[in-house]
Amino acid sequence: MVADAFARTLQASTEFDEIRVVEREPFGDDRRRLDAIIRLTVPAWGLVRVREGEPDLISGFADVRAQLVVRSTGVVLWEAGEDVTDPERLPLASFTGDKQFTRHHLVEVLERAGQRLANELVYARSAGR
Amino acid sequence: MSAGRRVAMLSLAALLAGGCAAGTAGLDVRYPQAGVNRAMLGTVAPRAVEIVPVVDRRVDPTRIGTSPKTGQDIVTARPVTEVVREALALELAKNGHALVAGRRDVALAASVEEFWLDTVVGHSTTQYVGKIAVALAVTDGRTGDAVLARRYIGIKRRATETDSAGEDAERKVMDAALARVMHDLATDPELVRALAAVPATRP
Repeated sequence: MVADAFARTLQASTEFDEIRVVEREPFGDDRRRLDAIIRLTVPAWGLVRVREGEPDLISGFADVRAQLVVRSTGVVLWEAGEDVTDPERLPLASFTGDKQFTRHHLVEVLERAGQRLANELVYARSAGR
Repeated sequence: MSAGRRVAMLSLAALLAGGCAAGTAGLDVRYPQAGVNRAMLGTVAPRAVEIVPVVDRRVDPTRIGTSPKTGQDIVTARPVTEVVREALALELAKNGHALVAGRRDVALAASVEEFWLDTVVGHSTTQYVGKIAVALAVTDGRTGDAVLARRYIGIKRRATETDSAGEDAERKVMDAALARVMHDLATDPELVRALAAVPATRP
């Protein structure tokens, strides 16, 4: 989900000619055709308490990392980590009482994390132009 | 009520609405100039852009949070409208657009909808969550036609050891939230298209 949102955002930016999402390291001809590889990781995601009160308010979150490497040299051109928190804040009961809602909320924050990372890549890439 | 007293009360209301407290330092939140890049907004030929006065539409315009240690309001050193206006101006200027007052190709109207810092104190760490929401309306400077309406939300979450929690950590969180708003804005293809669609009237 993070990778798909990341790729969609990069494509919409028109800053890159072609973006492909793969689930594992490409090899052989597939690898040779690439200019760069971006590795995405999601070290943590879930729900976090964002406001103390009666009741406390909770949001979905995703901590994501990305590293852009030149395929031919292995040089790391860009690295970033983003803590992404959903803008919506809700009581814990909203999540525990409705699994479908919780799933939807978490999907949204993962997609948001992909978009955020992509925006930072586009922003950083522009600086190097 | 005498005219003089009414004027004094209105002045006080204006200060409170600005969200900054006279006499207290407040957080000096700002968009760090050193980190501003020429981004996708710079792919559009330069436009004469007027940033009309930024409007404060927050539910509580008197503060940006409450200190869990003291229970006192957390405020900014400058009005949040000024903080956001300055950030917008920096981003546009870095991208090659001329900031003007008057004869303009494009008018940008921004509203600050949220500018808030939440603090959650744990046993050993304190978590800060800064959230800034800015609504942006783009209009054609010549015709006044609405071109685009967008909303950008920047959120920064940071946990720090409770011993080192304080104003510096609070400011950094709000700076980062503001930077995220600006980076999302500067890389927004819709905004780029909107600016490109408005003809440049100046040579």
